[in-house]
Amino acid sequence: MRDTRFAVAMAGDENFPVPTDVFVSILMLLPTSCRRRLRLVCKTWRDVVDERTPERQVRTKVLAFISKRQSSRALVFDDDRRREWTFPSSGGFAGVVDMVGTSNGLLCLHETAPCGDRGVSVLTVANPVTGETRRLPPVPPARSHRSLGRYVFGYHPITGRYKFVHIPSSSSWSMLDAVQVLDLGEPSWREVC
Amino acid sequence: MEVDKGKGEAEETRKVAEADRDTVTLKSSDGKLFEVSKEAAARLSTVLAGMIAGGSIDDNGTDLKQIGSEALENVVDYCNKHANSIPSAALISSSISFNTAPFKEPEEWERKFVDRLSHDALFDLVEAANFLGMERLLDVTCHKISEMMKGKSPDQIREVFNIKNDYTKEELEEIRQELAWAFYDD
Repeated sequence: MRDTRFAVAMAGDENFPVPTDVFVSILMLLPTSCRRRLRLVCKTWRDVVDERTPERQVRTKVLAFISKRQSSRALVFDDDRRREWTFPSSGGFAGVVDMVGTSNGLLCLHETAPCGDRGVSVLTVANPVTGETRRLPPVPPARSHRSLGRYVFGYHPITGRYKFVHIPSSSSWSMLDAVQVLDLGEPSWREVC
Repeated sequence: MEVDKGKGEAEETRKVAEADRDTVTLKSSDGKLFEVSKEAAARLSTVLAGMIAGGSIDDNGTDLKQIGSEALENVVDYCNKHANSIPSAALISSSISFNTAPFKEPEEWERKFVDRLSHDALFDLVEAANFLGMERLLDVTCHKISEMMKGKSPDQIREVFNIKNDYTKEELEEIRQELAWAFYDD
């Protein structure tokens, strides 16, 4: 096996002793920017990165989100199939669910309810096709009114990470000195001035 | 696990295997015999599962002509370790993820298992895992190789993987400019 590999490695057009499919799996474990840097290693690697690792193959699908108290639903139209998913409301209170945004088929939902002094504000990211949901940690309460402010949901194509931005709102825009950013998977928000 | 210790012992092992049939004997390209739990082999390797189901397992040692003894020893070692390990809670919970690829992070013992391998042994094991259709072992070995690529310059990568630079200076410069925006760390 080793002799064959030596011969193959020296042939010049196959510089890596693994089948191309396996090499592609290795590349897909790397962040996009790292993968792009690997194009500089040799021509074979450049060709594999270019031809076999598209940045993201996502077919556009139609999504409808219907916000209703306690039974908000997402409908995903996938070719001739229609998938329906009901948002599992936090329960206990009749909250309003807003869709913050969508990215690569994920929904970011913001649930608010006038409950207690500050109100309830819960941010959730959900995959309506698999039904998975993940509740995000709350914005630090020190940043005043949690139920106020706006959220933005985005995907960073270079790092492959999902990000949430919270823009605190106050009566006067001049008081805005920082926004909070959360990477999906991180335990807490960080301040960006 | 190597059972190539003389005909008498091999014969005895074979009889035991025939009697309760909970192991299979595999033969490397260089003729060494290894015994592995049938349950683990069938669970971890689609190729071995097919051979077991199809009755093409040879009690005298199923020939795996494409796999050398060092790689086969690692395959068998991995199967046996896997058979003894209970999936941790972390492994189960990490399966709930939003990644498009359902890759699960290697467990601690799996990391140690691949970390101790030499460069050649690691690549031989990738080839063996690929040949035997061992998805999990392939994931774990690929993960190790991807870790070896992270944070390295193209020069360092060429050195680690012994790759010849077939670009001209001009070609390299062109790609660098094309990718200028991508040159920052994650």
